[in-house]
Amino acid sequence: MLEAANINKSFDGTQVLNNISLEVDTGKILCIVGPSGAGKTTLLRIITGLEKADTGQFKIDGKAFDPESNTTNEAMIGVVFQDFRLFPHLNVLENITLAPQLALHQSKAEANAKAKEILTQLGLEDKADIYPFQLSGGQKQRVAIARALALNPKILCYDEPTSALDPGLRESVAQLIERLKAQGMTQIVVTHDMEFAQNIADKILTVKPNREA
Amino acid sequence: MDGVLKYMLEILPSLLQGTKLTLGLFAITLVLALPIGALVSLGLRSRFKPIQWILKFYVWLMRGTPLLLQLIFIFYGLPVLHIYFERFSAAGFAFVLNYAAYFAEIFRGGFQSVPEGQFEAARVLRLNYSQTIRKIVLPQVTKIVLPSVGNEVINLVKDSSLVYVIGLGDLLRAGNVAMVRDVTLVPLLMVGAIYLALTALFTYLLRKVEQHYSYYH
Repeated sequence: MLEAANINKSFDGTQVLNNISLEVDTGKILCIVGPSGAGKTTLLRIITGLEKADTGQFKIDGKAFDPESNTTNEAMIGVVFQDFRLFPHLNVLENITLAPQLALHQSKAEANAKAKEILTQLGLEDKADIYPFQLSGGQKQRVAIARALALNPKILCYDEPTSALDPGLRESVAQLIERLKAQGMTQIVVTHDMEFAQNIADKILTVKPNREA
Repeated sequence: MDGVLKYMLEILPSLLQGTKLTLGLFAITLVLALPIGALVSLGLRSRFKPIQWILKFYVWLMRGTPLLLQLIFIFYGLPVLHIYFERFSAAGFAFVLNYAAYFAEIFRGGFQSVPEGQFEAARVLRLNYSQTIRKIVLPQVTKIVLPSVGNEVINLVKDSSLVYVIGLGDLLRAGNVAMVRDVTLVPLLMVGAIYLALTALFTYLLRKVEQHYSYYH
């Protein structure tokens, strides 16, 4: 369970997030919605430690943690970026196994076995040896999910998971997120797609643009 | 005609001796200046301002003055300050310092063209700074900078001829000695041919390295 309270963030004097609090129960899906420019992505970047909040308290399973300085393997939060950000010089398998080997000190064999398991689960078992530029958008996204899952995160976050994909793939992303939920994964999804959010969410948090902005 | 051939064979050993020195300087410069250049380019991106200033000054100084002047300064000028270099070391020192500055600028451009998103992706995957640079960024930078580095490599082959000024017997000097002694242009033509052969070889090798990195785009 993730709890975040009183998150404030401003950039150059413009308040982007105004006292936001949120809570996700273990195994549930929280969707963060709102118009573009409302600060959804900033909120996600704060939760994932890519941006420092001006104020805010964060707890995972009741224990306080600081996302920005959180470099331990505890309280792991995985991220699937809108533009996937796969490593172009590594093949699919290497994309997935690099971090478990470097950050979790898994052996290559161990990391490979786990990665292949995840790839099979995501229907990518035949893609292990090819490079990101050879993948379609939907496949890239699934590799990005596999890469995040390989670190055994407690929470998986998505930034606009439907916006870089063909509209037809919206449904399959929803199914994939549902499937991970069935396996007990806690997930946070930032999206401007209200219908998509209503489809998958256990809880919806609406971020409103600041009046001054 | 036979006479010319015979003469060419006669002076070839001394030209090859000079080529050896040229290649030695070339190898030392490349092996040291490339990693130093990469480190300097990282320093140029450092958030610690004094490091940035010092390195910017270094790059400005090295790129802003002729290599020939730097060579003369290190070999003839530094002894005034009681810093002595043996000839070849002086040449190596000057060339490494000079080329590292050019490589640093090339690498700086390379680092800038790796999207910020790659750093962030590495960060959320819990890679530390050095892992991110070694495993994610440098391999991509290498591919990006190869054509520009290749240019400098070819330049280096030819720039090495500047060492004549401190009395080192490189390829050009060997040709020059033979030309002045025997009053003929043949040695210079041979020198030209050897430089061309060397640059052709390095161009070919660089193309091979580029091909090696063309497995993704």
